[in-house]
Amino acid sequence: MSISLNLGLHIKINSIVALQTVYSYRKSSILCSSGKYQLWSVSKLIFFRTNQTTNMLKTAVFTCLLFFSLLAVQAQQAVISGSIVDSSEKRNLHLASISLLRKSDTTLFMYTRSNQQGKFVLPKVDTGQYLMLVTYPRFADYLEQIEVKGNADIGTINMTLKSKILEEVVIRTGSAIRIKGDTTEFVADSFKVKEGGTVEDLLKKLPGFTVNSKGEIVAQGKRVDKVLVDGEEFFGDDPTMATQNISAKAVDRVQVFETKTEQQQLTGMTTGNEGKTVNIKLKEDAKKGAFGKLNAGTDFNKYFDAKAFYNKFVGKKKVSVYGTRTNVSAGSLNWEDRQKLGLEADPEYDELSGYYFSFGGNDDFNDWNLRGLPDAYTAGALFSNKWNTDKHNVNSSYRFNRLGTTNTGTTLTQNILPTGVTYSNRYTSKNALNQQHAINGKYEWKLDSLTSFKIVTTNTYKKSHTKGTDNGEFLSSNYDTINRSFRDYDNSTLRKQTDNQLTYKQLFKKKNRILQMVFRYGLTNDENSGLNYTKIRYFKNGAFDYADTVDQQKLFDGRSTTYGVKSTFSEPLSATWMLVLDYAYNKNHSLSNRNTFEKGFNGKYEVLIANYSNNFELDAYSHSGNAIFRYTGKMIRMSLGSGVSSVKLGLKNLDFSTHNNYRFLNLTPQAQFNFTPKLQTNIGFGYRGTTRQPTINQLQPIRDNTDPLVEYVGNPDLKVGFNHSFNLNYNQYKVLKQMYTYAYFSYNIQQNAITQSNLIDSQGKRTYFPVNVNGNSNWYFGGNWNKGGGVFKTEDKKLQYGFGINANGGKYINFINNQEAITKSYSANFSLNLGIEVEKKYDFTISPSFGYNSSKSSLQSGNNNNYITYGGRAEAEITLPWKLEINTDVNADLRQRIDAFATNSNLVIWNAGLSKKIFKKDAGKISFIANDILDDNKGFTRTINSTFISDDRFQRISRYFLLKFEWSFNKMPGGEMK
Amino acid sequence: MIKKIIIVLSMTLAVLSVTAQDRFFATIKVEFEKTTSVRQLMKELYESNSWYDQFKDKIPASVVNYYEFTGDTTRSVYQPGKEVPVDPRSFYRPYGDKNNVYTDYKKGISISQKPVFEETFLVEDSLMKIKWKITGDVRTIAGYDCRKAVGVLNDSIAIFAFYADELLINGGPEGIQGLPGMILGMGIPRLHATWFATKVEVFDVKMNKVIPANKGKKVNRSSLMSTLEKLAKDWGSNGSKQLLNFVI
Repeated sequence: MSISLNLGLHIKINSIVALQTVYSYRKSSILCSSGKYQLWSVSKLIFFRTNQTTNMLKTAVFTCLLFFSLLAVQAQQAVISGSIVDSSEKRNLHLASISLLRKSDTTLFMYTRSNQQGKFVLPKVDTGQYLMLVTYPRFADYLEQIEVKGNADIGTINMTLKSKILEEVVIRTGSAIRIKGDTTEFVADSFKVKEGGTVEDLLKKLPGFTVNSKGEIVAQGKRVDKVLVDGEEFFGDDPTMATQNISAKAVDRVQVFETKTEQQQLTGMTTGNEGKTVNIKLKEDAKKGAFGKLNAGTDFNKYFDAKAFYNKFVGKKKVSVYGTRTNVSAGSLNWEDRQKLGLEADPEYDELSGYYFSFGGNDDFNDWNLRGLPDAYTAGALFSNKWNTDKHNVNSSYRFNRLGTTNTGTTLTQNILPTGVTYSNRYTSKNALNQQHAINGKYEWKLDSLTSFKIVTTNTYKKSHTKGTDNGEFLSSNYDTINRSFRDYDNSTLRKQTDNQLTYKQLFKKKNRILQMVFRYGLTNDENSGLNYTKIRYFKNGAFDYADTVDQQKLFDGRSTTYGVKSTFSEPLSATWMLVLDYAYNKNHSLSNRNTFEKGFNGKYEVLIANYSNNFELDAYSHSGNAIFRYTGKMIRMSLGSGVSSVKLGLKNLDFSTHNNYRFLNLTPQAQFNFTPKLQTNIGFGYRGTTRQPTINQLQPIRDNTDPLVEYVGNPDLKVGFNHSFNLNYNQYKVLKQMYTYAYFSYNIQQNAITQSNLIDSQGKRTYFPVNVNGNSNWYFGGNWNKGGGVFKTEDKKLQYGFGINANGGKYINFINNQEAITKSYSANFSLNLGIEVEKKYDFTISPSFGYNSSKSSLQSGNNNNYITYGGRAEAEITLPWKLEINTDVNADLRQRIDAFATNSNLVIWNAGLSKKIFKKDAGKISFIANDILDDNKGFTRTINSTFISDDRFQRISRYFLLKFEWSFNKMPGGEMK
Repeated sequence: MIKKIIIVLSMTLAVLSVTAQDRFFATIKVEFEKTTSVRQLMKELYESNSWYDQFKDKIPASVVNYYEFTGDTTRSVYQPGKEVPVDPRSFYRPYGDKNNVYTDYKKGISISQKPVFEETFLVEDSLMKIKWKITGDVRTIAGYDCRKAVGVLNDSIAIFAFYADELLINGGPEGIQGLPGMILGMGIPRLHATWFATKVEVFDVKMNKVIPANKGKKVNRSSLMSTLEKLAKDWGSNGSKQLLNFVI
């Protein structure tokens, strides 16, 4: 077997460029060829070889050839040795670095250092083609191509001092890009670049820039060391990506600055190079595109459900429109759709409180508040835009809701009296139509990085009309009728409301020092009118006694104006302590005119009834201040402080020209302590004290006879109550184990709590008024443990299981017929959950629950109002072939019957659906939906109190079937919006 | 006093003699400054999420951490250095900022302690195999001429490293090594992170604290990877991108 060492005579030079390094070469020994080493061309290395060495190696090879052919070595691995010498001083170089690179891809194969005699040995070198790189400080790099076929001694490698080379030949070419100038920025859009052009093409266009044939960009002789993309030196996994692969269109700006200063700020790197850096700032993803969705479902008879929305982006401008029409829900968009359309409240950030979502006030047009059968329309539009590097930000929206409901309901109440039990039952029928127009707007202006202004305006115009009849009966403990009532009413209300807020925020050079001022102006205008006809028939010993009729019109006019200003200042006291101070002043003026009329002789409602007419003016002023110390440590966070406020109420009765003033001083001490012993584990404890100031309606209510059998009376002697609230919580999330543990406990106790005193007379009329009481308390406990993943060996199968406990209880004192009634109650609910999912196959979840409810009244200790609840939820989703999918869920809400009611309300609701995906990318879906298959859905709430137990039942959409078509489209360049 | 002068003089001479001759050092202590371009990292992880749009201004542009590398040609340890206070309100938490990597160059093994969420792993394995391409670019970092090398880890992750052949330790930040010299500068685009030496001490380096960490759940690199991959699956598309931060 012949083993030979081929000499590195075919040294290929491609792009002779040296970067910040000086290399030497002797022309005579270099044979140029057109061959290309890809990496070298990128990294600009120069290859050199001296005549002397070539000759020496030739000799060496010859010797080797002879030697090895004689030995006929079979080894595949060879030993390469040699020695490194300083060419001028003929000194052996100790610790020179010798690296063997694979010729094919220039990857590092092996390296070693020379010994004290300058000798080196590379053991176990696989046969093949290599490049050998020898480096030594202050010496020029030496690179040679070698072919290893067997053990070889390369001989002496002569290294040359860089300083020597400088005397001979100096090559000092720049790197890829050369720019001269002060820190400059070029706006990319100002320079026209051919379609599909790269950053290089763009740089060619910049004034003073020239680009040579190799693609190197030169400007007035000054070189640039680095090209950064968005401040990062390394962009992507390929170093040439920055200049050659980025489309010129994606560039926003080209910045040129001193390498030493600003680049350090951007990346924190320190380098010894003098020069400039080019930073290519990319455009923020200019979103341009549209997406939308269309849903329509019907049972071809009574029910329909349709929804459409469309969203378009042009740069940062965004326009959305949407509409719904349905009679199976309240018609509001779900959270996901709202998020997509940008209707959901933006998360706000405030240096004082961190991140939070601010939601608008409660809104009647959601499914939670829905009672009865709906018929809904919704329409809306949104426009948002940002400009001038996002310094200006505007967001405006319009929304229209129209919700009609019809409902028939039953309320069964058992009144617990010291003398026994009475029953009041009510059967109602109601039609309502609510309509609302809402216009909201937000404008934000960031003057600079420290100062910003924000204006938020919300405006609503809401009209509602309700019409209905109520039938009521009041029964004694032995079911004798005491009274029967009939009521027929027709009410219209109109509310116009505007709320405007201007926020000024100033940050300072000192971190965490903040000044924020909020100015508020709000106006509410009400106009209501109602007709009320009530007839009550009273019975005595089961026989009709007499009747009473009320036939009245009520007109109400109200206007309330609020001005407010709040300023907050936060000052860092040290690295960990901070003081937050705020002061607020609020002024409210309101005018209320409520007049009740009876029919006159001409049959028109003209005769004023003074008893039920109130006209008054209310002025409320408040000053409040807060001082809170915050501590933010590594593991402990806490805050401690208190607020104090002084409130003055002035109530002027316009009918009697009387004037009442009330003054309150409120305190709100608070303390919060958080401990984070480990990442993802938190223990917290908090206390908050709040003053409970009586409302003006509790002090001096408006007399109202809308329901002649229920009357509310004020109590001017009410004292200010105080609530102490304690809470304790524990949170832990183990990420790898996917285990989540959560526990929360809270306890509230009140001094001078405002509670109700009820007087029920023998004719069944209830009069109630607020009174102070001590000792009301309540507690809540919630705990949850959940674990996912890691049970099955197959990774596609995901398991999730856990359990939870919810419990609450309390003591509630109120009065009935001047006797104290104490209710002690508690309830506890235990639930389990188990879910198994195999992606794209099936997903099962089952969560049974069991609970116990207990309530004991001091008035009726004999009665048993304890009951158990059980039930739960089960869900299944199965993916079938042909893009078919089945989903079904069952909700069971079962309870033990209690003594108070003869019937029980158990609900078992079963829904199911079958759907098929159609079109490209599954953009469309046809589904058949069966809602409440058992036709069991009823609205039901139960209230147990010390003075009454009540079951409230109302109508809900029950069984229906829909055939539904859904289609969505997405023309977003960046892919799906999630 | 005279003693002092003598010491100073002899030290100066020692330094001079070293600089005049070959400046090679076999024992060093290096302070690394790791800079993570958080905004870029987050952008990559969450760009398709509307969440990112709303929070991007609140994410710090970059976060800096410090590490200390101590070692000689036989062994080294890379561990957290001076602390940089993290804004507790900022919801970015640095990845792998508590890593402790011990490397034994003779035996060719590394023992790294990596806290990953609630668990601390002790990864014991052979040295990471990185395919290095050597280039001709030279840059001065902390006073040393460093040659640029481009490495590929696991056939997918690119590493840009600058190594000084005057320093005889073949190590680098984290577990990155395998170059004929000490890595003083490094960038991993996938992690949007760079490491640069800010201080290099070559005299009086104490090696007695260069010992491997011993606490943690014992794993090897591939078993840690598979544990994390399982988790990544549950986290969806960017799960694996996020977890990559723990492995290197």
